[in-house]
Amino acid sequence: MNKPLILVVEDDKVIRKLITTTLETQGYLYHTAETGKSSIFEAVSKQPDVIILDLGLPDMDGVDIIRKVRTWSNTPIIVVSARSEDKDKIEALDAGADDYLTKPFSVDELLARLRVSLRRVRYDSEKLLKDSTVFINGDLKIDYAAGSVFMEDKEIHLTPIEYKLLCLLAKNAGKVLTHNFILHEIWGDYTNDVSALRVFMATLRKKIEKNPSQPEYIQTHIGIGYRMLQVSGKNKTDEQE
Amino acid sequence: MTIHQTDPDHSLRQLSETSAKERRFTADRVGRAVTQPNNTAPDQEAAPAYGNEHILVCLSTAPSNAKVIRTAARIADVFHGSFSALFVETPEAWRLDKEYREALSNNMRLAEQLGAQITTVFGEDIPEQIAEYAKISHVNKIVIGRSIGRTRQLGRADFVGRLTALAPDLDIYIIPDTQSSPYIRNVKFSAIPRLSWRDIVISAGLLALCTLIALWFSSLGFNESNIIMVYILGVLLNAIFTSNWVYSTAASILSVIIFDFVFIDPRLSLNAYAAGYPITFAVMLFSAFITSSLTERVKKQAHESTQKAYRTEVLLETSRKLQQAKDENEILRETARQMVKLLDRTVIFYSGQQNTLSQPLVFLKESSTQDAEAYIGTDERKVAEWVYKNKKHAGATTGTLSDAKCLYLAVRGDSTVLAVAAIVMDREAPLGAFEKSLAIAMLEECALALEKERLDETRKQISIRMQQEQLRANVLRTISHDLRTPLTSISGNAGILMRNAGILNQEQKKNIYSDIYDDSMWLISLVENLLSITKIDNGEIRLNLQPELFEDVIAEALRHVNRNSTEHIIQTVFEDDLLMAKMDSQLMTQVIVNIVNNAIKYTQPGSHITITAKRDGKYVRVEIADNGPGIPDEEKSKLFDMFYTVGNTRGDDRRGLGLGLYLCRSILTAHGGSIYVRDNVPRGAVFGFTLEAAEVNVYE
Repeated sequence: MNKPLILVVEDDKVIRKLITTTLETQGYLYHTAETGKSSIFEAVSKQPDVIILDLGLPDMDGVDIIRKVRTWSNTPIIVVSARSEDKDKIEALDAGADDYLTKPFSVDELLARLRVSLRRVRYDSEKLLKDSTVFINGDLKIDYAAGSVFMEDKEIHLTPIEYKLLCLLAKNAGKVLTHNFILHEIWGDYTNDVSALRVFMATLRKKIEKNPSQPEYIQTHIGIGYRMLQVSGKNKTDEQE
Repeated sequence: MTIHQTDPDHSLRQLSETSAKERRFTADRVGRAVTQPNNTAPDQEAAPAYGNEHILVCLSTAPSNAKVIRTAARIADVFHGSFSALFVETPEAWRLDKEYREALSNNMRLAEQLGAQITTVFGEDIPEQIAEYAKISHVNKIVIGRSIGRTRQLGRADFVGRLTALAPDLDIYIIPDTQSSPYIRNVKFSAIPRLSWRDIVISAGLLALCTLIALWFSSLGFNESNIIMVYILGVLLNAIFTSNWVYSTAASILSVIIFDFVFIDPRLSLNAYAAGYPITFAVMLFSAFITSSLTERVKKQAHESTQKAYRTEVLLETSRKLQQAKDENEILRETARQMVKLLDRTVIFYSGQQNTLSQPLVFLKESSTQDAEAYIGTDERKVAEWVYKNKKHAGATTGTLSDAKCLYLAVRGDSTVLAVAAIVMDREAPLGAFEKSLAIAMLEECALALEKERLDETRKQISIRMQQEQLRANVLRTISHDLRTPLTSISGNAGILMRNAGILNQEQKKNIYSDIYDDSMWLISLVENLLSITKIDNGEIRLNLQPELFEDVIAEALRHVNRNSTEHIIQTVFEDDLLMAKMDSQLMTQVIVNIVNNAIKYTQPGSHITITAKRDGKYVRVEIADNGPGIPDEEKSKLFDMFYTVGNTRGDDRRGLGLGLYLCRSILTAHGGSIYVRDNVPRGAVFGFTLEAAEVNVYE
């Protein structure tokens, strides 16, 4: 794969400089945009691999940009924002963002999130070539046709809800899924029982994680939701955040 | 006390006359109040009452009662007063025919349509019940039909006279009613056909037994008066053992006939030779009648007092249970349970909140096997909503929306409807007046309890808001002070680098970089704390309470602790993987971050920090223990105070802001939890907090 191209949308000069300098040090290519309109133009014309987006732009609300981009593109969007309320994060994620980073953020954290998103791009393109009835992520294998799950080639027994949860996370691997999204997908419209979701997630994690307190596959975003990380087996070390 | 007697023959004209008269009367009063503003003493009774009139109409089974109700409604309208309708259910009313029940419910419906609030009370003594009700409900005008007076039995004081004596403050309006009396008389005779074979056999047996004893007495040559006594005893026993006054009346007459036929010369004929016998027969007949009617009344009163006792008991039990109820749902649940027990019907509650009704809470009757789906459909809900909006009863067996399957009763609070109770009527007989009034009394209890609960809730919220306000004021005072120090360091160091970059060596530069980094990190953590505080103080957002797993929260917190933590050994121990509590995850994370950062700050590198979470009864207890130097006892009590730092070297030691633990305590207080510190064994300190555990309901 060529050097990935990142679109940085940020109106604050100092932060933009901070992000681009960081990207340079890691050898990524980048474009920048300072307004909502130019960011959409850049996203169409340059076809970036990942978009890093600030929500507070002078001309448009960042969430609207996410919705616009999502109408034609599945490019991962990492939101970088000073808005730290859970509801802001959830709104952006539900609009289609992949990840959310609150200012002040550390440069290392940004790079880690960027790697996760890039891995999703790579995974998505690989998936097109491969048999889509099987999902493989590191040592985890889901055979959709047989409805069975394997960890290091050993079959794991999941309850129906755990299985549904795992499939939902796997299909959206790399994306942070909000509680509401998951509840809606698994239980339908009629529930808002987050505690049940917590419990199922905890039991599911016990079954697939080697060390549940240092999860490798399912990441908790407290107050927001969950995400399945892509584990490539070989370079596991850089999954750790 | 004023009694208005109106023209009995022209009902329509009389209606308008009544109102015209009232208007005049009102105008007079107002006039007087205006012209004599200082001399209020003579008007004291009238003036405050005006505008606050409460008109009561007495309902009866007579079809002509409608006229009375309309008149009363007119009066209420003229006075802009409140309007109630009262039905006094007497034991006699229990024997009413279907026809009269219908007439009664028509009258009730009419009253309801005219805006009356309908109440049913029980008792034999109608004037007393009316007077009692009038006193309790602050009624000051009462409208009655004449017919009510005629239902009274012999030997009672005149109805209006008694009412006057019992409630001298009432204005009484009598609407004469010429046609109603035959109906009322019919009531008694209409009950006759309901004869039971059992009672007939008992009556005949008693009569035969009396005759046998009498024959025996006669053969022994006893006096006739003894024989009369035997028959009177027979009638008395008859009144006790049979269920109806008809038998004892018949028995009295038959006794006299048999006595005459068998024992009086000429025997075996209904003639009597001696001159005094007609008197004897009359006395015997009257004694028998009186005996039977007295016994009958004793029985009725016993029945009534049993019912009264039952009613009191049920209401007392309800009220006791409601007092124990902890929240709104429990209050509704207890009320519903009592109602189901009393009525043996399925009861459904809709709790009203912010002008909308909640989802229905269904309480099935015990024997019921079918589910309640049919009773909570959209049609039914619409009726409940109507009741909620209009504050009136509706649904099955009432005049409004009577297609509904349930009877909907409003649980009325002071100014609003607090909840709506639905009693399933589907294909079952309507509620008896006694049951209905008891149900309504229960709902009144329920309304009181709900109102008290809501008041408590508001008070609690106000106190929380006050606490938050206090906190915000305190915090703002410190911020400006505490921001200056690190900002000075950052800007100063950056200034040095810009101006003197050339003359600084690598080592010096590195020190300056790391100072800038540390200070900005410190500022970040301060900002996090401040954000938490604004969250607490901001009354509108308040806490975003969600059930969270402690495992997740602690893991999240550990990702945010000071980077120096690599020099400390941090362990986590969970006794149960599924420990959960309702919390604002951001704030609770902040609590753990603050405590762990403190532990890192005040212990030597390489120290152990252990985080444990365990279930402790109703609570979850989280403890963060270190094996550092510990905290002296005299400092412990002050630790959670604002701006307190260990060693208290403020100004020089900017590392201790004295905000962290204070914030922890505020956050836990806002969550309804508590925080504490104790010594670790063998050394070190333990910071712990408790939160009420959330129960986990998991259904696959």
